[in-house]
Amino acid sequence: MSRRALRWIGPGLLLLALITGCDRMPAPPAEQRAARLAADTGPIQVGLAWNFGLDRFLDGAELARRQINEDGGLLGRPLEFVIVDDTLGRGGAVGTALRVSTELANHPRLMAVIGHYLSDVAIPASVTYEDEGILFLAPSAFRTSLTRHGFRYTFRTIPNSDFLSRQQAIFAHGQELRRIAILETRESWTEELANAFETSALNLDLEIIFRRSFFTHHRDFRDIFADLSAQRFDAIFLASGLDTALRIVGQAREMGLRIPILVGHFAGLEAFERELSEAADSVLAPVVINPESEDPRVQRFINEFQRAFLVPPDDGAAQGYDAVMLMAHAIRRSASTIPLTVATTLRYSVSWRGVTGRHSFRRDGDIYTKMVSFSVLSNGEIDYISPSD
Amino acid sequence: MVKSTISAPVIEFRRNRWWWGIGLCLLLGIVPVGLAQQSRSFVNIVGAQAAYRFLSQVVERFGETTIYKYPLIEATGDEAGITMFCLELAVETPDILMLDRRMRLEEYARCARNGVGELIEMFIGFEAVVIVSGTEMPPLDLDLGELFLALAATVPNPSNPQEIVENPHRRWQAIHSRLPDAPISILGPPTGSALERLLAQRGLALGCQRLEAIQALAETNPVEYRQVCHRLREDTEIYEPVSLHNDTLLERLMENPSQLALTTYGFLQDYRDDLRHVLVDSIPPSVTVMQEHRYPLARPLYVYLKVGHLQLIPGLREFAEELVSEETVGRRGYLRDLGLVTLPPPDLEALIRTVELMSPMEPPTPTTAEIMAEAGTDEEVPPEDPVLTLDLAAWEAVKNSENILMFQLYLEKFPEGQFLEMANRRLEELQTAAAEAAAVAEDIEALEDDSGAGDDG
Repeated sequence: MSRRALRWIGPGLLLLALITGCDRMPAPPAEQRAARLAADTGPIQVGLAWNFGLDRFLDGAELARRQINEDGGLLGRPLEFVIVDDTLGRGGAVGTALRVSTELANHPRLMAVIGHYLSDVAIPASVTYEDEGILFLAPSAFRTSLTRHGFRYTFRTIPNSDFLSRQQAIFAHGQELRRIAILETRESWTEELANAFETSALNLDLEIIFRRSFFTHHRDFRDIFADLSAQRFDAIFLASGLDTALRIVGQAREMGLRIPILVGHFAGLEAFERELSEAADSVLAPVVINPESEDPRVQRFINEFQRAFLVPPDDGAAQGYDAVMLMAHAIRRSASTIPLTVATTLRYSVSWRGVTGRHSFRRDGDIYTKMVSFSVLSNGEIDYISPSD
Repeated sequence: MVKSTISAPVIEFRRNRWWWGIGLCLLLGIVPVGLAQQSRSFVNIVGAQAAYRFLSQVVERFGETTIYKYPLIEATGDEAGITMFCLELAVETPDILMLDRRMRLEEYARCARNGVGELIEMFIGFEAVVIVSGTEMPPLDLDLGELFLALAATVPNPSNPQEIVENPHRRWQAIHSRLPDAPISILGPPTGSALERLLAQRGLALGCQRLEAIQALAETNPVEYRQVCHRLREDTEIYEPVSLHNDTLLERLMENPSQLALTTYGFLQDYRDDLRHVLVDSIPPSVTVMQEHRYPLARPLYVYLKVGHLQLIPGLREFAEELVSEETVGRRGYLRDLGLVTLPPPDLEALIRTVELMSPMEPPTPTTAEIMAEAGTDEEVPPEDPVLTLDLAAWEAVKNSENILMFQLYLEKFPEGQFLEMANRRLEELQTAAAEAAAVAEDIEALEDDSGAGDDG
């Protein structure tokens, strides 16, 4: 046999093995689930994975479920939830992700999961959902890597850190805050936010006059403000957890810095108002729902939520409500509960408006239409500024 | 038989030609995949805040009534919007730019220089503030300086103009003796609204420029100058921002004959019989004067679209058609309800035709009025020569090219251009190089024929 012929033996055998072997393997879990769901006529099962007691996310989702079922359900079938607590436990974020996602995936008729508060949990959990063929809507995880794996079942219903920071830079530009100082804790998620903000700010011809990072256990920021006092600037962009943010704002005000402080992520201003009272004036944070909006959908949601749960809805409630309603819209539009079919509808043809804004998705599953509003503390009151104002 | 002069590399290539072929196939296979991943399946709009609220409504409707996904719309402001839009012709850059003024020649040239290519210009109407009163109020003509003195939070002290004080004016006659002997009472647009911004940016800022005492401040303290020139008074018994339904606003005006309201042009049109408009700088609010750039409290809204993106972005043409349709910007269009001053029917028909045919715009030529308005001066400024600017932009685009056609095209378009000599010289160089390359290629071909026969044997 010639050497040329020998060269083809290896690839040939591999091809043969693939052709003959495929039909003897069991169908992958995603296909098995799709087949089960195609034959299913019972209630439509959706998993909710959330940090219990964190906010009103579960109440928002529950309100949506009640409304859907009162209107006759989805495709004539009721919607039911499987709820799991994904508060960080043993094994850290990855261990929690594995525990919660496996627990949910063990429900054979589960078609979708909505939730996972933290990106560090949502990202590993998305691998399970991809393997198991479960539609996954992430309403809170904003780190960009969630949608960078080309997964077919993963969607994010909150602006990712690039899009969020871009909107903050545009907001700063619109408010004529042209010279910005960036303060950030040394964590990967805050660094991602700060980097994205800096890039967007520079694209908009804003000036970053100062950037300083510090460890999360840092307690005294007065030296930073002393350094900053030599500079002329209009605002601070702050990427940190809530405790550090409270400390920084308090110390900045103590040292006479009254300039606006833009909080880098979705942090409710109530804690600032509660802890710092007047010192929290001019602190701004992005929000997904503007309770002062004149949109009748928003006002209806606020009223119905308040009636059902006797408290006003927060961002978590609005995200939970919209994620369930969005999924319902995509199921109706697809006339199917097969996750891949619903995912295809979401990816290529959804233009749906909820109480948190417009929903359309990039091919990678990232939402690109949700424009945030900004909450600002002024004389102890929270005011809201929307991009359309 | 031709003797080989470059045998070694060619023979090496011949030996490995199958591997090269496979590599090329893989490359061709990979590149389209890469492009497909980068492709965008929605329209991207950037630009001025003033236009944002109008186009945002079009985006909403377009998403809900067509098969296309929602466009992405961002109020980046004029300058940043132009920078992004004019960056290049590529799907990573926006398709549509919205402005609250016409694109300037320099900006058009920047787009051309960066190879953005042809643009469609859509002038969709105006955003305007009008001042109205009930019919019992005597006719009023306010100049912008007087309007500033009535509305601003701080003004020059009447007894010592060098000093800036809280606005003390409570009656019109305190501002000027020719004005009515009546209290100042004005209903304004809601706080933070687009109309309020327009009032501050146009009414107050332009009025401020009429007052010498404040102009001095512009040089000595620009920060304070900006505050003085943009801040509305907060004593609500004199100036009250209100968010009222049209009928309620009309009722308020009827109840108090000396009250004025700052509102939309549509409100004036709808209640023309019950209202009297106030002249601003002796100019009545009308579409005609707005088109002549004479009404100071109005700004035009322009939208620009990249022709080169029509084939790349699904729904772009359809979005443009929705934007200029009768249902959107016509006399009964839904943008009128938001305060858009709509175009007269012949202008709208021309706009619809422009979009149907996708007729590219001509380079903008600034009018004298525009130049004077931009410069904020009464002195005439000579306009920039558009041909010279375009010539420069075209030369910037071709000068580093290795393509003969680009230089031939430049010479054809600008036969008497500023860079005629350099273009001719570069063309000659490229033609000589091309001729030499052709000769070498012939040699290689002959050599391949020759060595190919040997292999077969």
